[in-house]
Amino acid sequence: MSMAPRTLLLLLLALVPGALILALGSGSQDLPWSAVWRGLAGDTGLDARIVAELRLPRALLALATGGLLALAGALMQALLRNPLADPYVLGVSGGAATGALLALLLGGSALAQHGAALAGAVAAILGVLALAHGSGRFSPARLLLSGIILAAGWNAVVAFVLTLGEPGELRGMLFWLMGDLGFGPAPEPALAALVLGLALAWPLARPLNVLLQGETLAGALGVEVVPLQRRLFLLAALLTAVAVTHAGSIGFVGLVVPHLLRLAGLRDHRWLLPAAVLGGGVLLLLADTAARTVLAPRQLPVGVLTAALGVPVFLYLLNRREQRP
Amino acid sequence: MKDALLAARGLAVQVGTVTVCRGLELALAPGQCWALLGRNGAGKTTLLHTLAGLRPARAGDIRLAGRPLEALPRREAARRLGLLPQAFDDPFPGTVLEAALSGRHPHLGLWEWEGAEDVARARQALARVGLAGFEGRDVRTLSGGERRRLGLATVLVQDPAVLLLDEPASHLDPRHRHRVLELVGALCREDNRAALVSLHEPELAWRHCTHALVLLGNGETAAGPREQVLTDEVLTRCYDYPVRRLEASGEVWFREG
Repeated sequence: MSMAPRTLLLLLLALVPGALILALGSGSQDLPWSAVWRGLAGDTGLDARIVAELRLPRALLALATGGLLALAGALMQALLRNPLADPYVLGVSGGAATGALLALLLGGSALAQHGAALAGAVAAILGVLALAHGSGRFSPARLLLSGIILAAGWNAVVAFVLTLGEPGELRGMLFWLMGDLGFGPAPEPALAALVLGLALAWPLARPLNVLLQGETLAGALGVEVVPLQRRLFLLAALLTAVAVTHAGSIGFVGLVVPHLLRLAGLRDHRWLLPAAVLGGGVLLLLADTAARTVLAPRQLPVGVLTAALGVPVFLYLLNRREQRP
Repeated sequence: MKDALLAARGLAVQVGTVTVCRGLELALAPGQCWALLGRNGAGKTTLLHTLAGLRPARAGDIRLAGRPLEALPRREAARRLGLLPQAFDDPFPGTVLEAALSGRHPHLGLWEWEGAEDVARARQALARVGLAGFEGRDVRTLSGGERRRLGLATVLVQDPAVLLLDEPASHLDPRHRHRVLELVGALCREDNRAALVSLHEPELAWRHCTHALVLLGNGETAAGPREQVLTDEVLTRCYDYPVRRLEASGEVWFREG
């Protein structure tokens, strides 16, 4: 099962162009594969323009969003020392969606929406942490329960605000509650945020490895625990906020990807973090390609597919934890 | 006092309503192995964490190799002082070798990776705590006693001059209990390190340690060479339960009750 980390990372890197070509070649419109090359080469024919102007931005957005969510998930899992942590499951996406949506309704600019999404994500993590710590000891079960209940609360707020603002906006509702890559924002800001996020997270990787063994031991081994936790916290919130403002609340990518990578033998965060970025991108790109083609011409929100993957993985992980002595 | 590896002066430690110690004077000199005794809830763990610089003291100062502990960067402190925590909880998969290697963390630069020499140190440390051959095992499959010995191996890999060990003997079978404490004693005697080891049995303290620090409750403490501290009076006060030191033909044991 275990592979050398380097081999695995190279394999994931090779999967990126493969998944990208597959995504560009598939869709509700049947195009010849040659259209993919012509589209990438800047041809101005109709099928080449479908590839270059419709499919390529969406595919890049899927790559970026998947990477953002998987990286955020890996960081949250280390911060909370819980392999079940995920931005969607713990309501961080919900907090970000609420923030962005409120800014949108109040007529805020794109920048204000991003800021509000970040504020919402920060508020959501703070809420989870406060409730999980509560009075006394920090327990993983309490953490998960608080997060899941808060997530339900955020979703109710989103539904409430949407009903007030734009009655009958079913597609908007789906976007904020389940996530959808079909709204077509430019992928460049998300890609830039992803590269920046990884660059900021990677130097924290070895301290993260130590932190997984507990705060006391990490402190005794020379890790400045509280500053590290603050940075993890802010980074996870930031990555989630960017993902949510671009693609809505897509769930479970942050849960599934780090888990699969750990199963494959990647435990060192120096390998795990970049692999999560690539793996999350590829997974969401493939999921979105499937969402566009499985019931074509009908398009599924990609969140339906990630939930179909994520729910069994979550239950499996939860069950395995319970069985441990 | 001057060349103590770790020294506390006028140290006061408080946790909740419990006063762990007040005006504590302590100097761990090279070669000394100190036992830390106290009843349940007396604050042994809190005192060890305070001496490790992981929580603030209420008053007093702590010096590590003559320098104020709170002024030392954590990484630098971690190269000189190691702590074995009382409990381990591993929510994520990882191998025994990886856990032992994390002891190299304070010695490696930000961009540096563990090299062959670090791996050799880790393997050697695992062998010293009786975990040779466990390198590839998942830490989550270890028994309580095995996990504690792995924790000690991590401290050995960290290679500090001062060892603060929180109940290294609990969960261990008799053979490993004595082997681990003999190892700690040897680390002090032969490599000129100093250790402070929290224990539950006066007998283990007598057998493996040169000195003892006893928490008497209400912030009072008794500290010094084992012969002077591990007396009937001190131990009876410490545990609020009769304890007698019996000596016959050079053997010492403790009768409880």
